Amino acid sequence: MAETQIRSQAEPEYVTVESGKTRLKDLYTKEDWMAIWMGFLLLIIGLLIYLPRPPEKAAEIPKYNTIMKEEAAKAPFHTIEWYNASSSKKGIRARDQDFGKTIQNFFAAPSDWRSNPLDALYRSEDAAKAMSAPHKEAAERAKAAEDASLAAAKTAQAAAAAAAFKDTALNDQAEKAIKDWQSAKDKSSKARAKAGVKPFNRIPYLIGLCIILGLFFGIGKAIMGASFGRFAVGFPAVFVIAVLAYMAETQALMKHWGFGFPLWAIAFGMLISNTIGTPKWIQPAVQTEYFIKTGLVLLGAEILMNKILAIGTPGIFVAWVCTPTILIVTYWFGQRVIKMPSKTLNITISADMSVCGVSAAIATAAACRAKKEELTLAIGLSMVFTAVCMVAQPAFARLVGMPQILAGAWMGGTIDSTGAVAAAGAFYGETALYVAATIKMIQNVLIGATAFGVAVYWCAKVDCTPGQQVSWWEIWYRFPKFVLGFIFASIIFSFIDAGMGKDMSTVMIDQGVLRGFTRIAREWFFALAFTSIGLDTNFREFGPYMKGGKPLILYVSGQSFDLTLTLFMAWLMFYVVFAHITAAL
Amino acid sequence: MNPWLKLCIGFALILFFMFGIGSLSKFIPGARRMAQVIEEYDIRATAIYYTDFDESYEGSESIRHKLEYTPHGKGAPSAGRDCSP
Repeated sequence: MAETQIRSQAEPEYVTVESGKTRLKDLYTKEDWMAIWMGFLLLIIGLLIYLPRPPEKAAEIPKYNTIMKEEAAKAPFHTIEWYNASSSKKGIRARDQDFGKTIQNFFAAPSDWRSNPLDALYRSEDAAKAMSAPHKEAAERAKAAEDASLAAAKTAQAAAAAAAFKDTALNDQAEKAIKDWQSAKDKSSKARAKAGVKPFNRIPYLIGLCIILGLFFGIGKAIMGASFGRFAVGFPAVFVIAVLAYMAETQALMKHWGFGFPLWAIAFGMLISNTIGTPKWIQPAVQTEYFIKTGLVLLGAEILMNKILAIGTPGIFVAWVCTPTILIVTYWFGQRVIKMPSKTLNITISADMSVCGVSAAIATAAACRAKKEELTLAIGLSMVFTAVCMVAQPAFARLVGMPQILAGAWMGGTIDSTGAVAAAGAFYGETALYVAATIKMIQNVLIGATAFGVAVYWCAKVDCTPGQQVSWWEIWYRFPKFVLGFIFASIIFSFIDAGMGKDMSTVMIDQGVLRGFTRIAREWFFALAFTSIGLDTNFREFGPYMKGGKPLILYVSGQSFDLTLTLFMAWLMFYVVFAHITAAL
Repeated sequence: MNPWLKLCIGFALILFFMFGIGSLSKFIPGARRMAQVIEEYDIRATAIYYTDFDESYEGSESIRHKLEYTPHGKGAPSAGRDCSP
């Protein structure tokens, strides 16, 4: 990730001595600025696509809110009508409209597969029918079970209502029957999905996507003064490797272990670069920083500050007090105790271990201009330990009899990878899943502050001679400008989110612009970036970083501290200080 | 060694990792159960951000609805929520 820097012979290697002038020309010749314009172009396109077209069902949101309010006032438990209103409201998503589905189909990554990789790209009608057939009977049984449990829940609720909800035993029976119905409904929905497998053909879409992304990035390169032609020739190869990385991610066993496309993109890229060598005609399209910075600007828009309130005050303490504490302590520990030679590797590992894994590593590495080998090492460590923690933590929680909310908060705050958090939570139970996923979402939002803080700290304190006074202008010159785009995207979208109100923002921004467009583009950009990292990395470059096993020692020590502190904080917040909030969950 | 041979060996090693070492999950009790959970819930365990999978939306919206519309109806409160595993 480190850019070419001018160094004075008298100064240590990490000192940056850049020319101190920002020119108007930089706005269209420098990658940081181009990433901002290109990222914002996509964000504006996303807003223009979705905002003028709210789904018709959005008009029913006030009705569902009224039902939930009335039902909450009627009974001391969540009634059937309450759950139906909640479920209907959650089902209103801008991206479920026809144009939203078209966009998602166009950008779709390869699908799941087991033994035949071509299944990831193409599924015929006959194959879809063959996959659905064994599950049809189970789906019918699950539907029958759902209907039966609904009938039982209605009977129990009616009995409780007949006693004016004053009979504790009847209320408990009704609450249990309704929970059983919810569980049966969930099982029925999953069984229906398994019995409703659809055919697809990703190949034409992938070809179209390759052309569009090639044009998008190629035009940007041309504006910056590079050759569009050379970029366009090499880009399809980088894109194909990125597709292969996605296919590796969606293989069933790799999906179970949580080994995602970043790892595979690097692995496939490194396989090529360290055997036959990256061919010269591909090299103009190997643009790690260009892809990653554009992706990060899009990621900025997904950092919606209102999300930190998603689980109330206890969530803020677990996610926003523990996390920065662990980040700072592990960085200090790495520098003072373990004495890691590379500060950038230290902070990148600290961020990925304390915040949220790969996405935090990407943002932090870019902010402090870490080397690509350092980012690769941090991600590798994170993924390996995530695979272990994803299985070990719920097992431990079950062994000690942890309540679901505590287990969910603990796992959400400590397991690095966002997806693995969901898996670990689901392993434990639905409540644990919801709490874990929500806590991790709140931690995800911290990436913005982390990247900004690291960028400022690096410019002001790290990238300078000890004792040197750095002026604000100098900080501006050194500051990685794309971080401004990242932060502004977050600020602008947070304002839009707040301005639209929670309900409409959820429908139009979260479930529209972001999940229905920009986040899919962002993933592809990261896939291209990691492929570029792999194609540009030599195995030998890792050697110096592995000496003494310091990265591993840092990770293990930091993660141990993380596990202990987060568990204590989760218990304190959810069961002592804010127990009334926990009771409502 | 011929670079193309190295490439083939490397690719073979990757396949061995995926289908050989990867399938060890069948023999690790917790990992086997985790694989079943991931299939059952159709979870994207490889997601890197909250917008990359549906459970963050389902979870946060369910929690939001519960916090905004907490039952407070007249009548006896329930015996106590079961927060046990």
